Amino acid sequence: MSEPASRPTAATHRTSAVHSPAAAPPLVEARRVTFGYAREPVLENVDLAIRRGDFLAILGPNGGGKTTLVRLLLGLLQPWSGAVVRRLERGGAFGYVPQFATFDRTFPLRVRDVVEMGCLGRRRPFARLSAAGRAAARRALHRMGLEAVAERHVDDLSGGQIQRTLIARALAGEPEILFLDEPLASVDAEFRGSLVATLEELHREIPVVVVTHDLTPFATAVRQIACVNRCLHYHPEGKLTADMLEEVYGCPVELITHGVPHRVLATHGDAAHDPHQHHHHGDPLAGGSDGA
Amino acid sequence: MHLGDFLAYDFLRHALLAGLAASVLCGVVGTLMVVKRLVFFGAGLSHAAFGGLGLCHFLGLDPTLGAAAVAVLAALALGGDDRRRPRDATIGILWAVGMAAGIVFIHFTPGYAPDLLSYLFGNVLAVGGREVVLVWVLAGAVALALAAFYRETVAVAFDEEFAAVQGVPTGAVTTAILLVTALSVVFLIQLVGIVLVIALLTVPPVVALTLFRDFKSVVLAATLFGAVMTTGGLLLSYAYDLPSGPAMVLLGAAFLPVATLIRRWRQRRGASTQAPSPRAPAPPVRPVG
Repeated sequence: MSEPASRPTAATHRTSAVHSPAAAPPLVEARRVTFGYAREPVLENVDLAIRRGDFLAILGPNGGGKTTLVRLLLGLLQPWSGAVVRRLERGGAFGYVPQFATFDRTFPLRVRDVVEMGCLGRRRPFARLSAAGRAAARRALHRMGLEAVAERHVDDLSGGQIQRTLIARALAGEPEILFLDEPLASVDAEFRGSLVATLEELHREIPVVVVTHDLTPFATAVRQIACVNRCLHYHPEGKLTADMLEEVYGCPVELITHGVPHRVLATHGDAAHDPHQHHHHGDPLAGGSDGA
Repeated sequence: MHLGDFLAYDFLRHALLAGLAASVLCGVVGTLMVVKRLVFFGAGLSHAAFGGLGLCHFLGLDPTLGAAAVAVLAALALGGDDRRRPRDATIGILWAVGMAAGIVFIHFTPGYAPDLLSYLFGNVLAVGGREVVLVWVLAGAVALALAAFYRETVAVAFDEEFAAVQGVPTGAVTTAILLVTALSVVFLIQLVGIVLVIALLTVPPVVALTLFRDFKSVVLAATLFGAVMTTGGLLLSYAYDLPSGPAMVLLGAAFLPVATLIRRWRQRRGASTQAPSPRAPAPPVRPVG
């Protein structure tokens, strides 16, 4: 599944390598990836490279394929065509913080149990959690400020504490790259600032990839932006312009301090579309099942 | 009632031993079914299995064999469901078709017609030495498998996608859980029957989940409650001449309000000893995206 595409990538394609001067090969790379759940592709000919030092925001409308792209990069989905190449040094440790809503609060687990799930790795049957794994989980709990609630049941936590628990779980595996899917959803405003600060701190050690529909909270942290709406537009400068939004949403938009939601200033070519429905421009049917 | 008399009967000894093996299945398989939302799935399998049971009865083969074959096939088919129709609808169809087929087969079986009620609600008299051995083999295998792959199993049950990112073979673990569910259902049919088997697999875990909050404690407590439920049910049925399956189910169900009261009492005590509420104001969990 990690094999490079058999046919060479044509020079004319929009590869991030064109933009990024870094010499080291990317840690994770999507090459001309096309994927869909049903007949229609959700993503088409997507190229993306994530390198050491990146703080990448994956931006785009609902159903545009943001979560799908992350799942492909993580190896949870296999592309129809193209390839995802991973060059991780330590056995391919990915840190993944899924969307908050998938969390089952009734599950009989304490915070520590959830975090220790992050260091499953390879182990022998019957083996207990290794001392190294336990230590990594303890460090992750400490880092996320969860020591005081470590023995509490997950149902006794606030939204912010649950999000911290999920990040700690990802960190317990000592990942080489961290993916977060809508980390600020279901989190109160007070907690947002501290979460972004935490991510900026983590970014000093590993690349951070954030899927978000709202760039504003990450404005100071983000270095690269990928706009995904079936196709992918990569912006190595990390600044959002009206042109970029128009490119991805397919209509001229007013750039408020929030990248999205935005006001539609003109309808786009396809006159049949209600301009207020432009958020579903991607493929609402194909991408709808996973909220991507 | 005298316990010595109770144990003097072969069939009661067998029922008791099968009940203790069943309690291991309550603890391990039942808990996984409840947390993975497989209760309706299990109930569907037990009713679908009746079709295989009836077929083997008609052909003069061992009915348990037919029930096991149908339950396993149905579990695999449902596990690989491609979501072209809602899974609970498929389960409902298998449920009804299995029952209909079973009754038709039994209807056409010449000679002595077996007591339908004993299939539906269980019959301890039917539990022989061979069944006891089979149930213990299954219980032992299931307990051993959970001990070997405890962390993987819990990780898959809690968050399949995250487990997959870590390289856990989630497909294999999920299939194993479905297969074990199917086999447990079939072997427990003998004890409490097709209709009541689901109570045996859900009441002990739900009582345990009400009282305990980490997975290991829940599994152990559910096993213990399962043992109390099956043994107590047998004793009640012996002492008061009650049908054994319903006695077990009703005894187990009586624990549910007790467990809820204990939980409330604990919460009230916890709230009064800790000055600020331990529960930070949590925003309601809403699906995003």
